[in-house]
Amino acid sequence: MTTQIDPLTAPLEQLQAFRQQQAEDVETIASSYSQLKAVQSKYNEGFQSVQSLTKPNEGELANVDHVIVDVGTGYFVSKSVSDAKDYYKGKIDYIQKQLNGLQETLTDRQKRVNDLTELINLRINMDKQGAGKAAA
Amino acid sequence: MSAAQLQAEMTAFQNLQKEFQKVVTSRAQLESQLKENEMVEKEFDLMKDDATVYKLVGPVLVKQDRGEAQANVKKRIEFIKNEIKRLEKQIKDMDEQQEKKRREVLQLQQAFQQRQQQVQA
Repeated sequence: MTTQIDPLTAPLEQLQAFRQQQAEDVETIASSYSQLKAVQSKYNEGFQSVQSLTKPNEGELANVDHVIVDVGTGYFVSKSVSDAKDYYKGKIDYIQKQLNGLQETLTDRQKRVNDLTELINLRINMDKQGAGKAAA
Repeated sequence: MSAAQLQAEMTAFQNLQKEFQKVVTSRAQLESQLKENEMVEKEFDLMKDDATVYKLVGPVLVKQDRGEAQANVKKRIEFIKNEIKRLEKQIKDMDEQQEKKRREVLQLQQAFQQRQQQVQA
């Protein structure tokens, strides 16, 4: 959505409303970001668990070759340890891509909010000065 | 046309908006279920032949036949896709209803304001 708003002549309420909307967007995006991060950390836990199964433990080698992995919607699939690791790694990388995209959008949106705040303050000052001159 | 009537129409519009929002949310939830099921479908397709599928039934992991599990997931996906189509139509209809109501309310508001001004003049 691109609406052309002239920063100098648009009504102040419109600028403030727009800023409010953008600020809400930032909240939503930040919340999505943390949710995704939580999911990624779950997959990381899975990866770590499988990883630790194959670590030799004080001269004793873990005798594990297959694990059962939660693949979603109530289904589980048995996989070799290395396939399981690949599975988790794949999920972790996929989420990282999403996180990177969100981060960009978040930064961009936050900058917009900051710019709008500056602009609104500038306009308020301009209005004050204008009123001051009129009163003088 | 009284202030009470105007208020009633505005409330009706707000209710339409609430209902609309509910349907939009449902659609989003279905979308996410669809994605999850599609990922499982992909997992089943990529599965090695010696791998086993299990389903969580309550607290118990029950072994499943791979073909059956694949068929089940495909059925679920079809179902969800149809539900989404149905909701999308509903959303389109509700959107039109909302727009119509919004215009009605706007007209009423303007007429009401004009009458107020005449009375005060």
